[in-house]
Amino acid sequence: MPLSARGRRIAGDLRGATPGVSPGVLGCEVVRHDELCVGCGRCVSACPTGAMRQDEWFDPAQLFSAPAGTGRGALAAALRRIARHQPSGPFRVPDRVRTFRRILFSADLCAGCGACVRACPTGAVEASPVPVGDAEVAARGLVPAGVGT
Amino acid sequence: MGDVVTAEAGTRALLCECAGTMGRNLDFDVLERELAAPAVTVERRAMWCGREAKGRLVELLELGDAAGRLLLVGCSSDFAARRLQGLTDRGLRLESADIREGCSWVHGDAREAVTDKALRIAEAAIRFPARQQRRVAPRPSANRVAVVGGGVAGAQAAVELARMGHPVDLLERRPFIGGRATAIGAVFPTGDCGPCLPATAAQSGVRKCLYRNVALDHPNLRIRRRTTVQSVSGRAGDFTVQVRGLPEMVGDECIDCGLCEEACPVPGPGGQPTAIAGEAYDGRVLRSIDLDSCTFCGACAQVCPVDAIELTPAAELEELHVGAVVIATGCEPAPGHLVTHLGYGRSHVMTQVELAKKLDSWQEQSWQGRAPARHLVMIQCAGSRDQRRLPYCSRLCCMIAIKHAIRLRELFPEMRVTICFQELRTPGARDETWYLAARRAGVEFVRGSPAAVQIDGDGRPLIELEDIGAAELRRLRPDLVVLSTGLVPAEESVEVARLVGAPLDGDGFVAQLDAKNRTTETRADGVFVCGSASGPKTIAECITDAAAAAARVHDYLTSGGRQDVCAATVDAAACVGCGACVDACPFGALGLVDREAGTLRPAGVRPDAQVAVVDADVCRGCGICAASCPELAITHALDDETLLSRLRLVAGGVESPVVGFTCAECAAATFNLSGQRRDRYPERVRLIELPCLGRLSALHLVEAARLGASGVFLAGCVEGRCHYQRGDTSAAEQVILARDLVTQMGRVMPIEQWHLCAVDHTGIGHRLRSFCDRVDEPQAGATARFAAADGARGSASPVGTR
Repeated sequence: MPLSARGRRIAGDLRGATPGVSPGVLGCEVVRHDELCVGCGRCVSACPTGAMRQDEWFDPAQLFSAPAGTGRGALAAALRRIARHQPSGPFRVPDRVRTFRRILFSADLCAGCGACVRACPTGAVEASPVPVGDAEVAARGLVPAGVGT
Repeated sequence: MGDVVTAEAGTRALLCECAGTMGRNLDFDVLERELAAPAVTVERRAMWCGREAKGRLVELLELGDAAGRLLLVGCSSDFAARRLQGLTDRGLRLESADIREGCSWVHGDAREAVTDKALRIAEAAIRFPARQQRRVAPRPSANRVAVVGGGVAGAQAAVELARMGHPVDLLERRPFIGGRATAIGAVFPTGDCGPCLPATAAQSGVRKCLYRNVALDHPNLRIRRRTTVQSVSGRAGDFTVQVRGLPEMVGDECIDCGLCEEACPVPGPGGQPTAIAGEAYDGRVLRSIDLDSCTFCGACAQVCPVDAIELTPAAELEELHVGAVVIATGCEPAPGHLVTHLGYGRSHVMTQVELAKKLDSWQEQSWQGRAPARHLVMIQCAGSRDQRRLPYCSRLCCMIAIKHAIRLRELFPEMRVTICFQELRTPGARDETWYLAARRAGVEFVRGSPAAVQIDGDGRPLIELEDIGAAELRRLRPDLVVLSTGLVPAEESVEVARLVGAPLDGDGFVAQLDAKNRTTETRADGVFVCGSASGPKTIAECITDAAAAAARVHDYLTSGGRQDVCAATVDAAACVGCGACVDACPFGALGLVDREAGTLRPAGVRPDAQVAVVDADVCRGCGICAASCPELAITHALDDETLLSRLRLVAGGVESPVVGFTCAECAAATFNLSGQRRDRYPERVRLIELPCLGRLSALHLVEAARLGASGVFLAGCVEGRCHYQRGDTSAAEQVILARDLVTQMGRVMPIEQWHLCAVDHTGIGHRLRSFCDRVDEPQAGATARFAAADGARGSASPVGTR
């Protein structure tokens, strides 16, 4: 899938990335930890390929998995105290409710650039670099990416 | 920064019996006994606002901090503030626990229950105080004002300010001041030339002629022509404005001979024949060179008999330190592409602005008895009041058309002049006489607006329209069509507004702080707006508006800053730097900065992550940021712990309480007035006052559910009229979250948001009583009714058992 103009611009700002390359070649595997996510959407605006998407749903389960000691944890704890049964699932919220909105990640769209990792303030997006052999790098004409920490 | 006040000397509760009016249902002996605690002194009086008690308050005032924190347990803070104004003006700091309008006066005779509620209200205020801060936001440090735009409004504002004693820089992009008014010719309602200068000398009220007098000559006033704003930095009250001034090039030696204009070989901008041009201004014809078209060939300098022209192209940059900025950049005629459907761009079709320019040259034709057209049709609202083009009414076009029509009939009595209109709007002073004069002058008025202007084979316009007055289809074949196009914000307006951080309204004009009573202020602190920059205005309105703005600026620069606002603070150890608060703050008081090395940070947050900070000088203390923070990292004056503790205490001691969160502005006024009318409602209604509903987050609503509340209502200002701009919408979002979360946990707790203003006080008692009745109804029915009442949200259906 070719990158959009905005995608090329974002990718161009990344260390080691070459604007215009096709996805999947930039080298790291992105893993999301939903329990750490506050739903601010910074990864969404950083993502060049649209692999990160903020949808219109709010998932109480995500809130319940938040670690104790955090602010989300406090809200989750308050909810647990009033709970008569388990939450039934995500519910739809209007556009203007920004915080806690669910972020969806589509691995097949991911270019592995690591922009989301850099953008995420809470460490909810993690990337592990996939080792790429030197020969392969040379063959593709790429500089090995220092992306993805 | 002031210091946060702590209650080291304890709390002094001033228990007031309000002259016995609360004895019916309050047991003051119980209150006095129960409120007393190790750090709490209770002083009970029959009436704390009586003369004798005021003497005691003076004593406490003189004791200062040693008197401890003073808390009046009696009437509402609004009422206390009014009764004790003399003392508060002298520095008495008195908090209030409202057991009168909020308790005794609105409840029945159930003495025990009402006393218990009063006790809880008083204890919540005593034990869980909001943070107070004795600080004054810094006063504007510069006395100087920059007025951007030297049109009618800008010049008037600048002169008013100069006369009030402020040094003023009047920045005008063009070589001349006077703005669009100089291009118009005769104007309504006076029928003479556009701008008269505001008098700067001692003869106030005397009109001065822009063309005859020495321009504006007040010693405080510095006029910078050919000057534009490059950047604005600094904070409100202390701006640094960088301006770029183009060189004059034509010096004072100029004797107005005009040889340079004849010599210039380069065409100027906008159809101007030469790059060097003159305009009647300041008692002479002032010549200026358009730098964009000038080729610096030197022809003009060569022919100048007095060597007044010096071709030095370097622009000068200068920094001005000002306390306030006034945007007076005005408006401009709508671009022609908006009215191409009405034939604009073809021959025989022009705008009113173009007609105005032609009228001067047509005067000569009229003397020769030659009319430029036999039939002229004006089309009103061309492109205006049209959702696809300009959605608003530009207000001036009707009068401009009438003025031109009268002038045309005067010049060419045999010319037929028709005005096609949807509605004629002539609401200004004496405007109706102009309309009647136009009728007398024989101008034909046709109600109906054509959808298009066609051009036939001969190149003549053909207009088909439905004449609504005569209920028939009419075909007009005029020789000339004049389009009354609307007015749009000047380009510079948008640019200047962006530089100073003043937001624009939906139509692109500079947004007024308040459409009703703060029309000359913008949402950016220290930035003011006057004239057509905030919407099209007549010359008379511009002058009034400018004077009003000048008075506001003077007040801003000379009065003290905002007082006693306890700014929110961010706990860097809990902030993850997501930026939700930055987006939420209506005042731009928050920003993200790089985290200092070595500071504590929440687990999982990278060392190089950013952290939010509050600018205490800008913060107004609404608490919207604290509510929007997913990590609860922001501490407001009424922090989460205090608020939740108050909630637990106040909502306790009663079966299924109804919890009401009220804002301290419109809702407080409503409830206080209602209380003074003694409009009764059940004791189980428990009110918690917040500075603004924006302070409320889903967490507080969930806590209310935990406390067994049978219903919750949020009472705030009228929709869109929140005193903190976005508090009501922020609360509405939290209500949506809380409602779904509570429902998903299997609870039924209706949450309603009410928009009140003080005139609603007559109905609020009834509203509370009916709300209490409704939440008591059988579950299924209640849910259905709340879902229906809500309209927008119908998904609250799967309800568990209670």
